[in-house]
Order: sequence, then C-alpha cells, then structure tokens
Amino acid sequence: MVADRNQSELGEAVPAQWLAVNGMFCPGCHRAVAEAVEQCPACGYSGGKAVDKFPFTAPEWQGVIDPDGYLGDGERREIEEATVRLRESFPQPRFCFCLVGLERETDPREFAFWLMNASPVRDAEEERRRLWSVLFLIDHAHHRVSVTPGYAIEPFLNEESWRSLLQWEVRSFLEGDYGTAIVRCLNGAAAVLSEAALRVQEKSGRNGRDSSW
Amino acid sequence: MVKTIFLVVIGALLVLPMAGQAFPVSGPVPTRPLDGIFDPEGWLEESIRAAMVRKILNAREKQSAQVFVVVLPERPSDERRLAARWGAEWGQGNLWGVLLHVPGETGFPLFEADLARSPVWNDQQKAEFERSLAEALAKVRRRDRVLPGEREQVARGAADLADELGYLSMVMRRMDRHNAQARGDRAQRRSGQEEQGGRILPAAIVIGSLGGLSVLILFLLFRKSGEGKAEVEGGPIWFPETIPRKRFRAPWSGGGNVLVEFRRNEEGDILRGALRKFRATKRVDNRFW
Repeated sequence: MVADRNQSELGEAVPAQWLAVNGMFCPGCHRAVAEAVEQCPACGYSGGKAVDKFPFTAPEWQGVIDPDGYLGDGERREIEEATVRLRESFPQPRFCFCLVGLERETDPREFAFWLMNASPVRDAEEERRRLWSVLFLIDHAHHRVSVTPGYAIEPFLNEESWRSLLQWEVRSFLEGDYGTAIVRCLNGAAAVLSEAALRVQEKSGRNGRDSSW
Repeated sequence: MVKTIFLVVIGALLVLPMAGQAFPVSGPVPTRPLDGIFDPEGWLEESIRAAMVRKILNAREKQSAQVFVVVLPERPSDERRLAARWGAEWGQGNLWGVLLHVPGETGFPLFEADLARSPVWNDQQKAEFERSLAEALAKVRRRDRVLPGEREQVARGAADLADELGYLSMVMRRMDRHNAQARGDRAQRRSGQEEQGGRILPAAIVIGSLGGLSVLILFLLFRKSGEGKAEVEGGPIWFPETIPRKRFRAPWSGGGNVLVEFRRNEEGDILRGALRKFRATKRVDNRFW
C-alpha cells in the first residue's frame, strides 16, 4: 500500500487550466463553456437543476456500484485486484464503476455528473478522494458508457484516450461481460495515466520544474 | 547666416522622421497603467477590457507577472523596441510581457516579454528560462494568429500571455527558492565544520558507514518489493495538486464529455479497422484477407 502524500510534498498547486487538455462542457446541453461558470450561459444549467432532475437519494460512493447485481463475487475480486495494482503505480486516482439501466432519454454524462456530486461525502478524506475520482457509468440498458472525472484528476486526462480505451472493449460491453470490460479498462487506465504523467513531465521539464512537481 | 541655415536643416532632418508619431521610441515612457491597459484612444470595448483587466490583475497579484496591453493609434517607428522599453520600465523588476497592437496595421498584435532584473541563476538555468520564455511567446503568437478579428486576437492574446507568464513567474520563484536553499545548506555545512575542527573526521566516518549500510538495506528492500509490480518505472507516480476549475455550483466534478455508445455493427467496424492496421503494419499479402 502506498502512503498518501501531503500538499507540501507535491509542491505548489497550479491552476488547472495551465495543464488542462480538454475543454469544459455543460452537463445539460453539452455545449462548450469558455470558463468555470456557475451556470451554463446557453441553457442556465447548474448542479441545482441536476438535483431537480434526479430527485432521489444518490447511492453511497464505492469502487463498484451495482444495484442490479450484474457482477459476481469472482468478478468483484478481479476488479479489486486490478484496482490495487493500478493504485500501486498511481496512488491518487480512484476509479468507480457504476452499472445502471437508464431511460433512453437520460444522458449518462448528466446522470454521472449528478451522481458524482450528489453521492454523500462523509469526511475530509472522502472529499479529497472524490476530487481524484473517475466515474465510469455503464448504462446496461442501452450499451452506453460515460467517463466523468473529479476536479483534481480532470486536468491531466485526455478524453480521446478514454474513448479509444472504451472502443476496444466493445465486445465485452455488448455481451454484458462487464467484469472483463471493467478489469480491462482498469488495466488500460494505467496507459492513459502514464500518458498523462508524461505530458505533465514534459510540460514541467520545458519550464524548468524539478522532478518532484 | 549660412551657419543658421545649416543648423535649421540639420534640426529639421532630425525631427522630421518623428513627425506624426505620437509615441516615438526614444520619447518619454508614459505613466505605468494601473490596470495594465494603455489605450489612449479607447479602442477596446468595455466588456473586453474588463475581462482583460481581470486576467492581468490576477497574474499580477497571484504570480507577480506584469502584463500590459498597449493599443496605439499609429505604428511607431520601431514597435518591438518600444514594447521592450515600456515593458522594462513598467515591469518594476518582475517578469513582464507586453501585447502591442495598432488597429488596422498588419503584423499586430505583437508580443514581447522579458525579465526586468538580472537573476542569480547559473548559466543552465538562465538558458532554460530564456528558452521557456521564447517558447511561451511562440505559443501565444501561434494561438492568436488563427483568431478571426482584431479584438478577439487582443483579448485572447492578453489572456494567454497572462497565463503563460504567470506560470513562468511561479517557476522563477521556485528556482530562486531552490537556489537560496542550496546556498544556505552549503553555508551551514561550512560553518559547522569550522566550529568542530578536527573532531568532525571520526564522527563523519561512523555516520558515513551507518548511512551506507542503511542505503544498502533500503535498496535491497525496495528491489525485493518492486519485483513483479507496476509497469511504470521508478515507483508510484504523483500528479501535482491543482487549483480546480469548479463550475456549475458542483462541489466535486464539473462533468465529463466522454460518451461511447456500442452498437452491433460498430464491433464489426472496429475489428475491420484493427485488421487493416495489422495488414499495413505486417505487410501481409492481401490474398490472405
């Protein structure tokens, strides 16, 4: 188990926009927004509207949220092992996989946005972890998957890498073999995160940062 | 009389090139604009100006990077020199950047930036910093060139310049801090040696031996625990902490834009694509496919 580091060891916090690879989008209308706004300038969307749209209690935040029991014990164990392996290389990101059957008209990105923010946070440690979380929302009713990052991990991730990763698991997702799909996604996530780390290193090297940054 | 005419002609020759230029390169530098924008004719629209001021003051307060936007009604004789001179004067010993624009003229906006002091860095640090600064300016210019309107170019250019210089300014502070620490450590070590004189040698030998032994044990332990683990070389990877882009009044995430929908025919497309790649890579005879 890798011990967590505190802020002083990681160096001065830098504004996310200096590192961000992707733009920002409204979870409601999916239009690009130029800056971190309180509500979407195009449709007026905000966290409050998401709560109005999904007016029920969000589930507890766990590594796997599977209310319909799609995953067996063996699969859960494999997912847990893959998670631990990944955490040894990348101690900060936390991956969460949620399997639900959504209505056709419900956009998984919007549902994931709501879930990520509405699921209860118990303490400061959980707060920190939520910011470093990446939620894979799997809509088993319509074979759709969305990826939603927390604010802390968001600047480092390239959305295209997630799309490519998911595309390669098309067979497992279509056949409902979610255990295999999730384990492969976790294994593939190491490559996505390595790519992100290299990008950060490149940027920091270019600007003369030291290796601890 | 001849002497007077000669002086008048010489005087006229000296003055004429400057005629019509409201801002000669060698003239006095205007007062440093408090909000970072020098726009005597009021060419910038109020909304654009307000957004730029926010960015400029943010870079100034948080990172001590001095960014200035200069909009002149006519082209100065040597615009780069003018920008450099004004920037150095207004920069007040900090890293400064100037966006100079002349509406309607080609080759604008132009960007200049430099450090208004001589840093106590080694040659490698200086070279690295100069390279980073040149790259940052090139990046700002590259991004700016593709924008359609002059006002968009100025607004975006100012924001990008503030971002890039804010970042470099932070890097500078870190370099200064590291250098200061390195100097302080060396001084401390020297003074300690002077105080202890000849007694330091046996103690150093004992401490050195113990240290060497600890390093060896730690090395063996780490090698053992690292066997068969992560694919990433050099142990766990830590990402830097960031100041998040909180939005939509959401506490933990602003949402993501990745959505993949799987369809039966898509599987076939992907597999066919993979086969095409495989054939191209391996140069396999087409008859077999």
